[in-house]
Amino acid sequence: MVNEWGIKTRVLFLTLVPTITISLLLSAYFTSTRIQDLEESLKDRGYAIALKLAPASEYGVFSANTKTLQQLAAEALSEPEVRLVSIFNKEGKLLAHAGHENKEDAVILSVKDQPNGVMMADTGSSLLFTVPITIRDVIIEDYAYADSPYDQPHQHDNVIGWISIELSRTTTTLRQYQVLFACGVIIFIGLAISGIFAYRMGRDVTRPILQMAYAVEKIKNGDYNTRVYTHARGELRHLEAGINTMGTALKAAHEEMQQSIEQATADLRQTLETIEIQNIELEMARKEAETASRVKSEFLANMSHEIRTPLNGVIGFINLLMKTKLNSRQTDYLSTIHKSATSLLSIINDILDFSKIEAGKLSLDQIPMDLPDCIEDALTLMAPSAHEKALELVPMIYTDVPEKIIGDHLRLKQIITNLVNNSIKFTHSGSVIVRVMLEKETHKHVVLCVSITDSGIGLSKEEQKSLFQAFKQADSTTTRKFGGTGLGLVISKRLVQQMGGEIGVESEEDKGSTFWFTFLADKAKEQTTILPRNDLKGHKVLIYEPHPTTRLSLNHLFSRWEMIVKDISSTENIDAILTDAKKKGAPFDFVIIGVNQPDASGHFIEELINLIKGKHNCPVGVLLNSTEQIIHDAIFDAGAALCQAKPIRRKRLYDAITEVLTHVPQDEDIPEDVQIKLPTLRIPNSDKLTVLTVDDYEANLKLVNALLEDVGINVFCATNGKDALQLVAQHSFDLILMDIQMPEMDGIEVTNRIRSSEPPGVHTPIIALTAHALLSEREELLCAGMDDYLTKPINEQELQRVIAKWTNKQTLININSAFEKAPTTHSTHKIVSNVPIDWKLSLKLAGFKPALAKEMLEGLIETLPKGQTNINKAFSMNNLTSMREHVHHLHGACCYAGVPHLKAAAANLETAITEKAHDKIQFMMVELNKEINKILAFIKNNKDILNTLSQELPSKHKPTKTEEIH
Amino acid sequence: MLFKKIGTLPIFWCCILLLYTEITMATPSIALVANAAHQSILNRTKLALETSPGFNAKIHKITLHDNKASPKLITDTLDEFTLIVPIGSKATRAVIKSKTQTPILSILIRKYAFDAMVDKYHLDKKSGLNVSAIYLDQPIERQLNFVEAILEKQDKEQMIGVLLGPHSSRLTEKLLSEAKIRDLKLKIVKVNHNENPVEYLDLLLEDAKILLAIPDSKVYNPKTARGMLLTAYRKRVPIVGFSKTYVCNGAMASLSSTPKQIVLQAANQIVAYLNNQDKKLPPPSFTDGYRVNINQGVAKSLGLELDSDTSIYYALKQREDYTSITNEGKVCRYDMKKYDRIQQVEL
Repeated sequence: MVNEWGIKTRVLFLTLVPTITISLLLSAYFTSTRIQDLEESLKDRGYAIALKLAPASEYGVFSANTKTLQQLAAEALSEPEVRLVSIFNKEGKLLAHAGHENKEDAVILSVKDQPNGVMMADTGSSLLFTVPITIRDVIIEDYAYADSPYDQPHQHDNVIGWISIELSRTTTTLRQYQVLFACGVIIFIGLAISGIFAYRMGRDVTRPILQMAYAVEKIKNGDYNTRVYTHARGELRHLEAGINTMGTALKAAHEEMQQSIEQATADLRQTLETIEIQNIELEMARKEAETASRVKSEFLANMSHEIRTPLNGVIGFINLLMKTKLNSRQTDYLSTIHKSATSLLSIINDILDFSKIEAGKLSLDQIPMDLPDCIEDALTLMAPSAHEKALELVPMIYTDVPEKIIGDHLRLKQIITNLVNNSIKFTHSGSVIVRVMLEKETHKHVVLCVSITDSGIGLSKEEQKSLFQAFKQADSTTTRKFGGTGLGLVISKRLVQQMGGEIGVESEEDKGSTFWFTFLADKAKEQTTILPRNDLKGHKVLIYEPHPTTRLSLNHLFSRWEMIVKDISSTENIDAILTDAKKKGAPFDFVIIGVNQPDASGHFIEELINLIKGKHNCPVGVLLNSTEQIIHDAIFDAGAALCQAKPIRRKRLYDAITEVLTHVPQDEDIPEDVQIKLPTLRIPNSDKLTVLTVDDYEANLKLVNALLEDVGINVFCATNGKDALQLVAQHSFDLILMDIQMPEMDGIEVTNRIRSSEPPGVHTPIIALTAHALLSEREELLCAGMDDYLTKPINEQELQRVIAKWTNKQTLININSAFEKAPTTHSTHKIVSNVPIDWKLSLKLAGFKPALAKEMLEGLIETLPKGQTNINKAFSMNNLTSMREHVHHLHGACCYAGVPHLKAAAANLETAITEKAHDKIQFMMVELNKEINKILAFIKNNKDILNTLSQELPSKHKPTKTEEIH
Repeated sequence: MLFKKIGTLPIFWCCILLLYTEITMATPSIALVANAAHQSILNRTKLALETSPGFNAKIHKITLHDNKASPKLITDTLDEFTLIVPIGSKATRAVIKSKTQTPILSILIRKYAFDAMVDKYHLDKKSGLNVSAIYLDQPIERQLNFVEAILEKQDKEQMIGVLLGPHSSRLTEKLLSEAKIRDLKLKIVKVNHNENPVEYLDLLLEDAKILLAIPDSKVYNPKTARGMLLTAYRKRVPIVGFSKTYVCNGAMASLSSTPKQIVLQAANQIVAYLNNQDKKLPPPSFTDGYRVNINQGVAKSLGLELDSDTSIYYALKQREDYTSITNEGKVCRYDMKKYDRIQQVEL
C-alpha cells in the first residue's frame, strides 16, 4: 500500500511521522517529567515544611506549650498549598490545629515512608505528611559515651509527638493541567507548521511532476507545442528542460516525418496515377485482345460453319450421286471426292470444336449411357481404317467396369476416336488395344481409365512433352508423313479435363505407345440389373484366333456368357480336337474362327468351314478384319453361320450366336440383325406423308428434298420463315423440318408462331435442323416448342429414323426401331420418347396377356379426355386439392398401362402439387397435357393399332426376348 | 566455667592485636589498654610516661576493638606485664574480666562505674589483686564549692536541686552533709531505674533555682540531656554540669579535669609504682587538677551575671585550699574503701 503512495503523501509521511513521533515522545517525556517535578516539588515542599516544622515544634510539644504550637501551626498554614497543620503529642492528643476542620476521614490511597521518619499519605486531592517530633540527643560527656554505661536509646523513645501537614494538590493539579495544555498547544502548533511545510514541499514536488506528466501526455497525444513551465528547482528543472527539449525535438522530427510522408505520398500518388493509366491502357489492350480473340474465334466458328454448310451439301450430293448408276471410274472418282470431303469435314469439325472449347462454350451432356456400347461404337467407326492396315483393334472392357454411367457419350466417343485414330495412324502393323478399367469407385461416382495401346512407332520423351499442345504434332516431319491438324489430342485433353480426368501417354520409341485417360462419371441412378445372359450357358465353344489379345478378349467374353471355352492359336489340331471332343461325348456346339485379313487367293476359311461344318456338323462363326460386304457374302456362301467384322460388338455377337445355337437356322443366308444394319431402310406408305422443310440455304434444302423424295415423301419447301408460315396455314403437314439459323425470322420464332396458331389438340411435330449440337441449345430448342432435332450434316438414316419416329404411319417398322431406341433415351430425361405407348411394357404389366393389356390401355384412353379436362379445370381454379386428386387418379390408371411418359408426367405433377411448387406445377401441367395429347393423337391416328399390337407383336417378339437385352 | 572458656578458646573470645610482645624479665613492661575512642589519651599517656624522669619500662599499646560489648584480654599475655593501665571503663572492664594477676591502674573512669566493677568482680576481697584508679569525677566537696562560688554573687539562699539516679543515690548523705557544712539548701530527688528523669526534673525545678548535675548514666545521658536542658531553660534554672561538653551544649557551668591533668597524674603514679619496692598501687583517687568551664551565653539568657572562668577558678581554688586545710588528710589520703567507710561512719 505504502508503494502506491504519491510523492506528496510520502513527503507528508516522512515529514510528519518522525516529527509527530519525536514531538509526542518529547512532549510526553517533558510533560510527565514536569508533572512529576510538580508532584515531586509538592512532596519536597511538604517534606521540607514538615521537617522544618518538626524541630520547631519540638520544644512546644516537649513542654506541651499549645500556645506556641498554635502559633507555629498558623505560621505554617500561611505557606501556600498547606491546608492543614495538626500537632499531636506522643499519645495522640491534639495539641494544636490550623486550617480546615478535618471532619471526615480522607481516603488514603497510598502511604509512603520518607527519610527521617516522615510518612507521606496520598489522598488524591492532597498529600498528608506525618512527621514525628523527636528530641535529639545531646552529648554531655567529654569523653565517649562508652565511658558511661549508657545503652543506646531506641529511636522511638525519642519521639515526643507528631505533626500532620496536609498539602493541597489543587495548585499542582492546575499547574499540571496547564503544562499539559501548553504541551498540547505546542505540539499542535509544531505539527501544523511541519504539516504546512510538508504539504508545501510535497506540493512543490508533485505539482511540477503532475504538470510534466500532463505535458508528456499531451505530447503523446500529438500536441507537440506543449511546453512545461513549473518554476521548479533542482532536478525537476532538469526534467522540465528535458521534457521541453524532447517536445521540441519531437515536433521537429514529426514535422520532418510529416514532410517526408507527404513527399512519399505525393510520389506514391504520382506512381499510382501512372499505374492507373497503365492499368487502363492494359485493360483496354486486354479488351482489345479479347475482342480480337473472340472475333477470331467467332470468325473461326462462323467460318467453319460456313464451310460446313456447303460441304454438307457436297457430301449429301455425293451420297446421292453414288446411288445413281455410275461406271467404275466414276465410282472411283466419286469415292475419292467423298473421302476428301469427309476428311475436310472432320478437320472443320475439329476446328469448330477447338474454337468452341477455346471460347469456353463447350458443355458436356449428363445423360445415362451404355459404356461398352459407346466404346464399341467408337471402334466400329474406326474399324475400316484399321482394317485397311490389317491392324487388330481389340476392345477389352474389364468386368468390374459399370456398364451404365452418366456422361456425354458423344464426347467420350470423340476422345476415344481421336486417340484410336491417332494410334492407327502411327501404327503400321500389329494391334491397337483399347482397355477400359475401373480406377476408383465411390458411392456416387466412378473414375474410369481408358488406355489405348498400340504397337506403332512410339514417341520420344521430348515428343511426349509437346504432345498435347495445340497445333503441334509429335514431329513436324510426321505431319507431312501422316497428315492431320494436330488438334485431336488437344481437344481430347480439354474434354478429359472437363470430365474431371487426366490424360497422358507412356511411350518408347519404336516400341509403341500407350495413351491413357481417366474421367469422372456419375453412376447411373437406376443401375439396371444386368440381365442374365444365360441363353448360352453350358454351350461349348472352340475359338481359333491367331492374335493372342483378341483371343484372350474373346475367351473372356464367352466365359462371361458362361460358355465352355477352348481356344487354340493354330488350325493344325482343330480336326483332332473336334473329333476328340465328340468322342468324349461333349462335342463343341460352336466354332469361332478369327482371321485378320482373308486371304484373297486362298481358300483357308472355306476349307476350314467345310472341315468343321461338313465333318463335324458344327456351326461356324467367322470374325474378320473387314467390313467389305463382298467378303462377308463370300464367307456366308462358304457356309458360315455368322460372319462379323472385328472389333466385335458384344450384343450383336451374342444375339447371333444365340440365334444360331437356340434355333435351327432356317434362313442361313441372311441373319436378321445383319439385315437391319443394311442402309436400305425404306419407309412404306411414306408417300402419304407431307413434310415441310424450311432452310435458307438452298443446297441444303435441295439435299433434304432429294433425300425425302427418294423415300417418297411429299415435300414442301420454304426458304424463309414467312413462306413457311404461309405454307403451314395453307396445308396440313405431318412433319416440319426447320432450320434454326435463318435471316429475318429464325427457326425458333417460326416454331413459336406455328405453335400459337395451332388449334388445340393438333400438334405438328417440328424437327430442328441445327449445326450446334450443344446440350443447352437442344434444351432451348425443345423448350421453344420443337419436338426433336437433327444435327447437320444430315445423315440419311438419321433423317429417316426421325421421320419414322414422329410420323406414325409406318407402324411396324417404326415401332421396331422405336423399341430399339427407347431404352437408350429413357423416360427420366426430358427428351421424350416419341412413342407414347410402350406396348411391350403394357404386355409386361399385364403378365404377357395381350387381351388384358389392350383392355387396360383402352380403359385409360377412355378416361383420358375427362381426366384432362378435370385437371385443367382444377388448375385454372387453382384448387390444388382437387387437382391432386385427379392427378393421383390418372397416375393410378397409368400404372397398369404401358404409358411410361404419361405416368412419369403424372407422377412429377403429383409430386410438384404435394410440394406446392407453383412454377414447377405450371411446367408439369404443360408436360402432362402434351403427353395426353400425344397419346390421344396417337390413338386417333392409329385407330387399329391396339388390335394389331395385341395380335401380332407378342407372337413375334415374345419368344426372342431381344428387348430385354441391352 | 567462664575461665575454662577463656583458657580453651582464647582466639574466639578476644580480638586483641598485640603490636609486640617482647617481654624481658629484667625490664618492667607496661600495657596501655584502650579502645579506639581513647587512642589520643593512650598516646598522650605513653608520651607522658616516656617523658617522665626515672621511667624505665617498656610500654605496650593494646587497642580494644569496640565491636564486642565486653572484650576479653588474653590472660597469659597480660600476665607478662608489670602493670596494666586500662583507659576508660570498657578497657577496664575487659582487663578485669581477663582475670589477670597483673596490677591494674584504671584511668578516665567515673567513680560509680569503678565502684560497680569492684562490686561486681569482688576485687576488694581478693587479697592478691592490686587494683587502683584515677577517677574522672570531681569530688562532691569540690562541686559544692563550685556551686557556692557561682552563687557567690547571687542569692545564697537559693535552693540547689540534685537529681540522683540508681548509681548515684549512695551519695545522698555525703551531699547532705557537705551542704550542711557549707550552709547550702539542697533538694535531692531520686529517680528509680525505669522512671523518666525529665518528669522528676520538672518536679524538682518547681523549687530549685539551680541544678547540680551528679553523673549517673541513668539520669544524665544524651537522650535525657536535651529534655533536661529544655526543661531547665523553660524554668530558667541554670544547670551546673560535669563536663566541658555539657557546658557547650547548654549547661551554664561545669568543673572538669583536662586530659593533660589526668595523664600527668597517671604517669606520676605509674612511675611511682614502678619505682616502689613493695609494688603496691595507691588507692583510687580523684584528680588533683581541674578546670572551670562557664557558658556565658547561657548565663546571659538566664539573666545571670557570672564571673569569668579564671576568677571563678581562683575563687574555687581558695575555697578548695580552705577545705583542704580544714579537712586535711581526710580527703586526699583516703583510699576508696576507707572513704566509703568513713562516709558511712559519719552518716
